[in-house]
Amino acid sequence: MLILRRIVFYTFLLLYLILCPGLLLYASGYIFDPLTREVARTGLIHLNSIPPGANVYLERSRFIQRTPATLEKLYPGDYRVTIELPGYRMWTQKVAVKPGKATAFDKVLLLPRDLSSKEVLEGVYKQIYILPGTDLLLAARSTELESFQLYNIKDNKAVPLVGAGSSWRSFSVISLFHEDESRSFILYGGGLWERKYLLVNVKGDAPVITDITKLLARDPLLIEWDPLEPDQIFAIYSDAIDRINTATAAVYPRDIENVKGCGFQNNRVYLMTADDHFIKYAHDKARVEPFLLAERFDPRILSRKVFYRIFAPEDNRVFLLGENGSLLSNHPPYGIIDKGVLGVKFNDHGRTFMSWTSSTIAVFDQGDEKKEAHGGNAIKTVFRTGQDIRQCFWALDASHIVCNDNDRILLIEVEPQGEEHSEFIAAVKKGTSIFFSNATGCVYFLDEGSRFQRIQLVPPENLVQKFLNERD
Amino acid sequence: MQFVYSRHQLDPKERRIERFFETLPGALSWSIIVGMTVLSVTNHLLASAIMVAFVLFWVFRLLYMNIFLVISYMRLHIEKGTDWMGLIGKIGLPPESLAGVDPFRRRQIESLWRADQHPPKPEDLYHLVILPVVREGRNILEPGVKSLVDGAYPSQQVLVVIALEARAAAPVKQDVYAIQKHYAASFLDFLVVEHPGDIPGEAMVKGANATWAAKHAAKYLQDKGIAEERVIVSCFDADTVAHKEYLGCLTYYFMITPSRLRVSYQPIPVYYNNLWDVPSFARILDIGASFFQLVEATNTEKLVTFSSHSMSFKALVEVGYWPVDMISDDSAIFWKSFIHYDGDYKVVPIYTTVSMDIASGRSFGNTFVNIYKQKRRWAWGVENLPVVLRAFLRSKKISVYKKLMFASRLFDLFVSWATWSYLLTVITWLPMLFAGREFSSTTMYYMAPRIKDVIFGLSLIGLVICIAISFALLSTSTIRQRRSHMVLHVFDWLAIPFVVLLLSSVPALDAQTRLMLGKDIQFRVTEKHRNKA
Repeated sequence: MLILRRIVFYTFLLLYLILCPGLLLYASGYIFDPLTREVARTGLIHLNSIPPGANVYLERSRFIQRTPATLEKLYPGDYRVTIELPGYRMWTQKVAVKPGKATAFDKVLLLPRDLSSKEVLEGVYKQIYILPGTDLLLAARSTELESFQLYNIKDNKAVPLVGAGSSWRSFSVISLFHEDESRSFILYGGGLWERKYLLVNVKGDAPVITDITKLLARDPLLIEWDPLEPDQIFAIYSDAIDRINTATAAVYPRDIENVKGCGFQNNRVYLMTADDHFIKYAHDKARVEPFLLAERFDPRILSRKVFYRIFAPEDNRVFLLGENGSLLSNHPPYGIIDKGVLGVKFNDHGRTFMSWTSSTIAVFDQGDEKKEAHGGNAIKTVFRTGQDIRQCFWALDASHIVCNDNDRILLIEVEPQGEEHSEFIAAVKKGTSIFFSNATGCVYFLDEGSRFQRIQLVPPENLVQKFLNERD
Repeated sequence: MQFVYSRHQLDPKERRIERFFETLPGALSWSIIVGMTVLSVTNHLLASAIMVAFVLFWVFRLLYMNIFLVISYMRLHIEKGTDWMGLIGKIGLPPESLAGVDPFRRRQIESLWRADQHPPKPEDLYHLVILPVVREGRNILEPGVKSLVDGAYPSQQVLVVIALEARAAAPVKQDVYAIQKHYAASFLDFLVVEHPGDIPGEAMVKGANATWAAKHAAKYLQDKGIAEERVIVSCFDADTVAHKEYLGCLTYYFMITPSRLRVSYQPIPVYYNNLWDVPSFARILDIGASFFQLVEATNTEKLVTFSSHSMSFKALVEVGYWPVDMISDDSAIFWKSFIHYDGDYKVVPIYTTVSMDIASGRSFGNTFVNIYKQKRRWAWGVENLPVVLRAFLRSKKISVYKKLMFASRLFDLFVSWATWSYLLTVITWLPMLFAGREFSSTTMYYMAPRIKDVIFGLSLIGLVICIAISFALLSTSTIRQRRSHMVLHVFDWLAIPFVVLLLSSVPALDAQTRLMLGKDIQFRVTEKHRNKA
């Protein structure tokens, strides 16, 4: 028996010693080419489409695999990859295969050939106001409040924003202030000589409207608040910031002075002082503490005259969006964009965010460990040919961006390894807003005929149903 | 070799050496687990490559073990029908008188004849069966005693000694004395030896109780004029039910083994007494333990005693009986003998079964806890490793080959016990889970899971073999089983990765960690329940 054990043991050992390196080399892309009798290092392309089951073509050859598919043992070089599914638009990309590397397209969203829209609410509308991070939208037939419908995306139902007996029915809306994920918003409007600020709280079914005009000393540049502390609002003026408790109607004039920037998130007030230091505190100011001591901004990139909005996804990682459109980071590259940034949106708990100017959209992935090893941000411009980009929304787990560019809805892929790739979805009424909901997978907009429409971009089976925590 | 086995009687220098060895298994296991976890998070590519190599190694080892599981089972199956008593009668006869004996046995008997070896006559041999009892009632103890009476071997050649802990509860003692009264006439004698609990230097362990009983038995045998070398001692658990051919088979192997006095005899333990009375996770683990012993039985060079087994009484006396302060008396007695005889000691597998109870409890949760504690006690066998290494360090007579072979075997056994399940069920997925963009853009990221899937697919062959052998073993057992049991049993096997992780790897790591930190575990008699006596 011992002899048999030894024979089997050494046979297995020999097999292992041959197979194991072979498997590891194969997993690293090495193959033996019987024609050239040489070992070559190959790469692969991984494709996963939504919906799955699409045909895969490499150049003109159709693969037997359907998506999700891994095309392996590809010699280095450029390939044209195409995905086709009957009834859907063809998707094609030029892909560079590198030795030992995988080029992955994990979420190729195939759009139906016939992207038909559905009317959300009947009638003709003038504008839609979006309330990102909630399941609510405001659809307005005119500027007067009586024409405003509060539309619930989740229930697909609309209710008038003001009741029949409300004294605010004829209030004319000029603009709206809102913070992501907040179920409150502030409407600015009214007659020419009696402008008002109305705070609207949508806690239950019936919205509650409060006139907070008297709490504001003058017209602020911005009104901001922390969605986690909706009762505390901050009216930002050129020289100071007033804090207002809307629940008690208490006003703390010039509560914050001599600051060059502010941000209100995570139950904290973040401030950039006039001498470029950063402090943070809870709303009750119980403990004011400095932060960014070790990772402070390079003073050379900070402008003296610009007011910054502070975004602090982590305490040691802060972004500043200047009123001149500059985007700065306290990690390399410090000056991300010099000017023209219109907005930023975070995703994935602050690890990924995008910024857009009127013509470009850039994505910053802080999860890239190679870049992060040097403390930096991985930056990729995913769209360069915008005409007038006004709004952007993350879609499908940050694999896509839905944007409103010059009154066109575009779907842009955020593929780190492919070419720029965008799809036209629909034309929208001039100067109006759009909204993309990750909860329903639909884009909401007013069409050129002023009808309130929606188009299903992401199939319902691919949606994560997180209505209340929706981050758009 | 004169060697102090107990760690409680060492001089400070020896104790420091042993303390160092005590830290090794735990340190190695933790290094593997923590190291691979950290590597999976920090260097996904390297971790992934290591895991591919490891999973391939694991499946090769699984298939290798499966080959010997099948061979071992076949041998068990073939030997099941052997007329051991008939064969015993033929040992010592000239080759021409062996007509009708199967060729394998014939060769064994003839080689003994040719070597001019004269084994003791069967009628001169006696069996001493020690049954330690502390809380087992009549329903647990009696079937084992009855199996000795009902066995093919003449029970008048058997001395049964119940090693009864003095601290045992009154009902337990009543049961023991009732059994003694009932069965005394069936054996050469039936002794009940009460073990006082306050002997200095002893721990509350089975070995201390069995040693006390064996010392009494030695005196009894001496009084009867029975020489120690004519006695084979079997130390069973209280719930052990020996196969009816067990003593016959044991006697045969004792007789035909030339170095019979320096050998332990290891049967195949099966856990059938309460097989269908326990939850599936309990069942599957102990069937796995039986399989392990079946595989080990084919590895006679490295075989170590486990659970119920037998040996020469002379050897037991010479080595100073079982350690009285160690929990793992079953394997410790082998190492004690191996060291005492300078490596001239081995274990011979005997292809017959002893059936025991699976640890259980009064509820599902209680069973889980009891099994965890039992497996931790089994894994506490790691306490022998530092002792053995210390002995290897001191011994000049044990060959370097044997030292290396057994040291590597011990490390392999205990470290793989504690780590493999964790590596296979958890670590193997971690590199993918923590993959950053750099790793996810390599071919390894996509190919490694596919390769592992194929390898895991191959391991299903091993699973199917295990299920088939499990059914085959069950079908030859005497336990009653319904068709529903058999269907259920297939599903038992599907849960094995999680059961092994929670109730085998974790207890093993627990035991090694305690040893590493210098903490003991208390010997705890395992609770066992049967629905029917």
